[in-house]
Amino acid sequence: MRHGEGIEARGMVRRDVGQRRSAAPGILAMWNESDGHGAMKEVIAVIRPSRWTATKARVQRLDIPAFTQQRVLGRGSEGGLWCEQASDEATVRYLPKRMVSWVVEAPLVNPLVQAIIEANRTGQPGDGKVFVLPIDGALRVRTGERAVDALRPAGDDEPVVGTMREDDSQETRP
Amino acid sequence: MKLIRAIVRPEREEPVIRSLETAGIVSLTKMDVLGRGQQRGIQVGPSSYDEIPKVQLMIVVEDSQVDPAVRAIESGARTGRHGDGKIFVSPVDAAYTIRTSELPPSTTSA
Repeated sequence: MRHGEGIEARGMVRRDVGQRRSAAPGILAMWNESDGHGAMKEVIAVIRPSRWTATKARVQRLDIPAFTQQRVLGRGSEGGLWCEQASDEATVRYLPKRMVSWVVEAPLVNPLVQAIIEANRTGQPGDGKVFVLPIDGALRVRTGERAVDALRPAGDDEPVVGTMREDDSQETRP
Repeated sequence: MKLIRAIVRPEREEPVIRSLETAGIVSLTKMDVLGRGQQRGIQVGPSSYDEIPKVQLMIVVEDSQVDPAVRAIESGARTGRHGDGKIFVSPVDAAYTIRTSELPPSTTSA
């Protein structure tokens, strides 16, 4: 491996997957310098659009206010909707779904996944999936805070008052 | 388990999905995205486009399925010209099926 060392030191090894950890020495350490302990995870849920409001309210009770969501199309192992009596035109190959991503500290992952499942389980096919992925770095752009500090309320934040109530009230709707 | 994200030409979406189906991979999530690659967009006569419409496919598969899945996407998406897209593979710690999975153990209960 001697011949690769010079390239590696300049951070130019990009294709050799086996050496990617050493390709950019110090980058991950830099990301995590403000808190060496806190692992971060991304939780991605693909759920029914109609369950999103209830999910948002349920998750907010865990004090996880931040999320990113988008409208997507998808299908599970059933391969969409098939109507046996109808012609091919009546089949729905992709169903509208809501994909939501939360980035949280590792200890919050299990409560978050529980909340998502509780808010979305109907027992019918199409309830959706939840995936948990590792996150190597985080940065709050406004302040430069890194790692878990970027996920916690910012040092200069005013305490948040009363913003949860609206969403909570939506959950009680039929 | 791995998350595979493939950013492909919109007109290659159907061939990619068909070849994934042939490989036995049916479940997927797709979304319309805009992006550009190393060519920084395209120049057509006087007009330049620096955000080109693409389709991003997201699939999560067992480790053993990663190679077949990537090969399937590759064969469906490749035209040999610039702009064919990229495939990214990242690790997945856990996956839950909302309808059937056991809830993860609670960290708060004693």
